[in-house]
Amino acid sequence: MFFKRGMLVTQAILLNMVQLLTVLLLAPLVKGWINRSNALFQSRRGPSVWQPYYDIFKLLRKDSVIPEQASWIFTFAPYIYFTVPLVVALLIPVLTTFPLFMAFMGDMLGGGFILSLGGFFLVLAALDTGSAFCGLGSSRARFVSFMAEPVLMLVFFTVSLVAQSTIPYIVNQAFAGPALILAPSHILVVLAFFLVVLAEIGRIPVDNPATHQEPSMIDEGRTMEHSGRHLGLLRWGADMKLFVLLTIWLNVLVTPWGLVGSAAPLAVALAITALLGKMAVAAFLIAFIEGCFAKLRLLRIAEYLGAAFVISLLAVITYTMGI
Amino acid sequence: MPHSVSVGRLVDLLATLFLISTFASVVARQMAGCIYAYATQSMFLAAVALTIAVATGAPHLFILAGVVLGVKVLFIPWLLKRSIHDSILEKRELSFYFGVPASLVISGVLVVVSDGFAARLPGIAVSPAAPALSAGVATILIGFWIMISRREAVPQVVGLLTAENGLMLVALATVSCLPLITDMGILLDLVAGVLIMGILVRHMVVVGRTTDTARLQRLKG
Repeated sequence: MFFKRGMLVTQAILLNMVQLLTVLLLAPLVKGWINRSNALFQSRRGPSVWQPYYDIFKLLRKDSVIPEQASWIFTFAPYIYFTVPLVVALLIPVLTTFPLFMAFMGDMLGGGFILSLGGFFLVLAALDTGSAFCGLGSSRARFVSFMAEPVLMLVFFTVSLVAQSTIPYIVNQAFAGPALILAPSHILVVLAFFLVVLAEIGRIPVDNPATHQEPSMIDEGRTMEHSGRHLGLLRWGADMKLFVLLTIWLNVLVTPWGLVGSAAPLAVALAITALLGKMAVAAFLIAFIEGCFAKLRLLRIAEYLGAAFVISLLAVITYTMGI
Repeated sequence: MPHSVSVGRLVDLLATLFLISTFASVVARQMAGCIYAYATQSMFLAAVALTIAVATGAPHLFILAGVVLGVKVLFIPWLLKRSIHDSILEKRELSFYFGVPASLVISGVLVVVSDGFAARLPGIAVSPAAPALSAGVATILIGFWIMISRREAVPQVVGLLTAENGLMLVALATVSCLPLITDMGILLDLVAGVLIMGILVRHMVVVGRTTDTARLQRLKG
């Protein structure tokens, strides 16, 4: 009896480790896929899909330069930004259908707030340096995220109405059945959440990650003063944030299948493969959108997120009207 | 209308996508974007017709789906694009009477109104047609709103066509046994109307080098 419980605890810890390592190690690969598919849409060959790994390892080996005026927050922020997606990864169904033991620590709303904690510290660090462009970048980043957050909340409220819960694992189970996956409110929620994800990870309709012109940068603007090891951590953290948000979108809302119900090594390996397959499709979709649209002007972002807000509002309406 | 549950669900889904594409034409700032949003919307309409056709086995609905695909998805967008000059087609910012955020809010309110309408209509509220009916009524109202809020000629035409699409969805959702001759009559009217409006727009471009209808203030003999 005691032995068996010990086995179970070991297994649960191992599963959590595997889940964390999946997020940690595969996140730059998804970024590489997006870059590679982008290059394909632009008729280029593009860098290797492993390029984000090379970049991160190169940066991690270098020393970082710290501005003279900067306080402890400047050195502290990259570590927060790097850790936060990993904490969220404990709350969401990355590989398994059954909840892991940290799953009830917070729901989707909590996960969203934990993720925004990283962004908050990054803004503090950017303001800490006193650089003009950092200030510009952080003010814009706040502008985008304070319009994205109401949408995110409304999406989670709709999800909680439909699935009767906001714990990601339970929502995943609720949507895995055929009854809810084709419901009109579900489709609207999927769309609204995707629009917000694009805004949160700074991809094309909102921000162009490939541009390095100071007047137009949003997300890049905040990390201008960071260098070396700290910049490496920030890049890696951003990749993991993208991975985690896409995982929530894919595994909880769009395709709640392909997760495993047992802890057998083979099944877990299969779940990782399935997740990577979904990620590849999502990366291709993001690259397709980047190929079709230009970056919006700064004040047009309000309209873009306003559209996302109305769509999520429609989801609530269609659900409460019983339609 | 004897729908099975799964067919009802599929029609719900397509009606939702139809409504989303209506919103796409509300937010579209470029003329080409408006026209593509209309083509997408018509594609979902054809899909609804096809779904009901497969479910009921009514032959005239198969024909209707095909004609909708040919006329509304391919011919009318092509005609609208032909009727204006490329420099106007690719203009990035169209002029509005009401901005996009206000239009979005008003369209949201219109959806609530039509949902309430569909939920209260006796006999419909409990039938599986309710979501499609609600989406159709909302699209009619939003189409009118597009005509009110835009100043350019082509988006106004698109608004009219959007309202007509909504009408067709309502007809499909409530009485799918509408005789083919009625549908064909409506479509013929539509094609003739779009042709005439296309010629008018063309004249506006030739005479005034713009398609801004706000500048049409006086009649000239």
